[in-house]
Formats: sequence, structure tokens, C-alpha cells
Amino acid sequence: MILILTFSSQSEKDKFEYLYHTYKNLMLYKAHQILRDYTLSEDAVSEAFIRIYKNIDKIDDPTSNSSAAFLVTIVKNTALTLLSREKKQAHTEFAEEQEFAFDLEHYVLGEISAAEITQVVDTLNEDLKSVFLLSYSYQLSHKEIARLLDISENNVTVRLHRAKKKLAELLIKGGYVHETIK
Amino acid sequence: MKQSNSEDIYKRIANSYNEQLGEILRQENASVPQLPNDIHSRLDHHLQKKLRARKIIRFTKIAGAVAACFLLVLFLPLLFRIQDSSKSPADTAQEHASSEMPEASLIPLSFSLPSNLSVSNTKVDRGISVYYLTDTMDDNVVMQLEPIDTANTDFSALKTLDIEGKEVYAASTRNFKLLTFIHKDIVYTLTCRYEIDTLLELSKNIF
Repeated sequence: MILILTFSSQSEKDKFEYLYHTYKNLMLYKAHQILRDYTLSEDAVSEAFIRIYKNIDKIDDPTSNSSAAFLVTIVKNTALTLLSREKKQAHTEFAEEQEFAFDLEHYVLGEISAAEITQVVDTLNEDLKSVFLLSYSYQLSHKEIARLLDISENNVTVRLHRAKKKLAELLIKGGYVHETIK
Repeated sequence: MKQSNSEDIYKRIANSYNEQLGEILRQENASVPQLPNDIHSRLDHHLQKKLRARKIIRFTKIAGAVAACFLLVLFLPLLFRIQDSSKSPADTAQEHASSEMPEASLIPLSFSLPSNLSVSNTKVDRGISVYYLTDTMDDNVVMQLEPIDTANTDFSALKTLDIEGKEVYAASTRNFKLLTFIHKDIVYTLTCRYEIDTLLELSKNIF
């Protein structure tokens, strides 16, 4: 299928087409796991690809693990957004709750396996996880994340704050971080 | 600048997680069942349709903006000439006096808001009271109140709805919803981004 899209360079076009043809089946599958409806899944995946198209410059190597994770993060977000609209569920509230109790400023990361990292990060719900990963792994600004996930910048700030707070608590309590000498 | 410990930790956690996740997803991609061709074809057409719609909307907005600027440049001088010639000296004096009058005060709300909405900000703009309402479901609302004697009440371009016996007027696009009506000599104009229901529920509280 030839997509009617304009790109600033041939490499961006090739990147997008590679991602589309390689991952659209997986993304439909992931969207369907959330939405349980193929029509809605198509809507979620096409919306995801439009966002990816607009942010194609954020993807360095389309064959990398990081790119696969990026695509699935986006489609999960578009699917969950559609799901919440279908069910008219409340979004995660964005009012501040309490003081930041756990702070990693005086800690260093100790021994922690990749599996343990996965276990810790997977305790976050998708809303918090996607913002955390987009910020720290893909180095996106709050504004860029807000546009990518179609939420307000304020929402990005609060979700990131909550994600960091939760992760800090788990890392400290799990003994995965050690206090440095002050 | 040296990156703080906490930022470094979060970055390492995020990168490690993404690397693991990506590896699992690439393996899954190779083994996940291929969905039927008709679903893939529908997705291709769906995406094409969305992209075309975005191009048309973008083109229409640009063309509309250019046309509006052109018409403005063409007719604005004529408009001023007509206004000036129709004004009597008494009118001019009154206008000058009224332009020095203080800005109208905020029209207070005579109803309670639905539980999902709360006032985050207000302002008065040329006699129009504007309320910015925050929604717990992220579908924030801008509500304008204007006295009927100064408001534009030509709703002919809008769709007419009946809400509990009250005539209201609505417009809707993908990212913009509008509801307007007259109630107790005030013209209410409600706008939000996502759901017309957000505005309909608010309007019921107003009636």
C-alpha cells in the first residue's frame, strides 16, 4: 500500500514504511488485547501511526528494540484513551496528593537484574509507565510527550512525578539502591 | 553539568526496561498470529482516510485563513467609512463616553456546576463573562455568559436540539464541541474538546 504522506527526507519515509509494515500486525494485536474490538483497534492503530509519523524524527534506528517498545507504548496509549472514552471512565486525577516522600538524590543503583527492573517498572500502570519511559528512555520534553499522548502538559508533569515517586519507593524498599556518603 | 544521581538512576532503569521490552516484542512479533488480510486492508484504508481528512482540514484551515485575511484587508476600510458616516455627533460623543466606562463585572453563576467541573479561572472580556472550567475527565470547558442585548443571537448555522423542552444550538467537529442557548436573558456559549455530553450535562444544571 502506498501511503499518502510527505516526509522531510527519504530516510524518514523509509523508516516509517519499515515500522508500519513490520509492526502493524503486532500493534493491532496489542490494541485488540485492550479493546476487544477490531474496528476500535484499527482506529487506535491508525491514530498511533499518525502520532508516530509526526514524531518520526524521535526514532533513530527502526530495527532496534527501543523502537519496537516505542511503537507499542504509543498504541497502548491510544487504545486505552479510546477505551476510557467508550466507557466514559475517569482519567487518572491530576491533582497533587502529598509530599514527595521518596527521593533518590542521595542514592546509587546497586545490584539489580534486568528481570527485577522489569518487575519494578511493571508495577506502574500504563499511564504512568508510558510517561516515565518517554521521558527517560526517549528523552522527550513534557511538551513533546503531551502532544504524543494527547494529554495536557500538566498531566505529564503529575504522571511523571507519581511514576518517579512510586519507583523510588520500590527501589529503596527493595534494597536495589544504596545511600551514598553525604 | 553533572547529572543528578536520581536522574541517572531513572535513565538507567528506563533504558534497561525498554531494551528488555523491545526484545520481547520483537520475538512476539515473529510469533503472533497474522490477523486476516481484510483487517489489514481496512487498517490501510482507515489510515489513508485519516491522513486525507487531516490534509483537507489543514488545507481548508489555511485556505480559510488566507481568504479571511484577504476579505478583511479588502472590506475593513469600507466598513470604517460606513460606520463613521452613519454616526451622528451625539453618537460619537456617547461612544467616547462609554469607552471610558469601567469594564463590566463578572456575571455570577446562578446555578451549581456538575460534580466533575470546577472553576479554575474567570475573566471579563468586552462585557462577556468567561469561566474556565476544569473537568475531572480532562474534557475542560470554556463557558461564556453575555447579556442578550449585546450578544449575537443568530444561531441559524447551528444544529437545533431539544434538551428537556429547551431549545439549544450545537456544533461539533472531531476536536471541538459547542453548545449555545439563551436562558434568563443571558446567552450561554459552552465549548469543550471531546464530548458534547460534557456540555449537555452542564446545560441541564443551568436550566
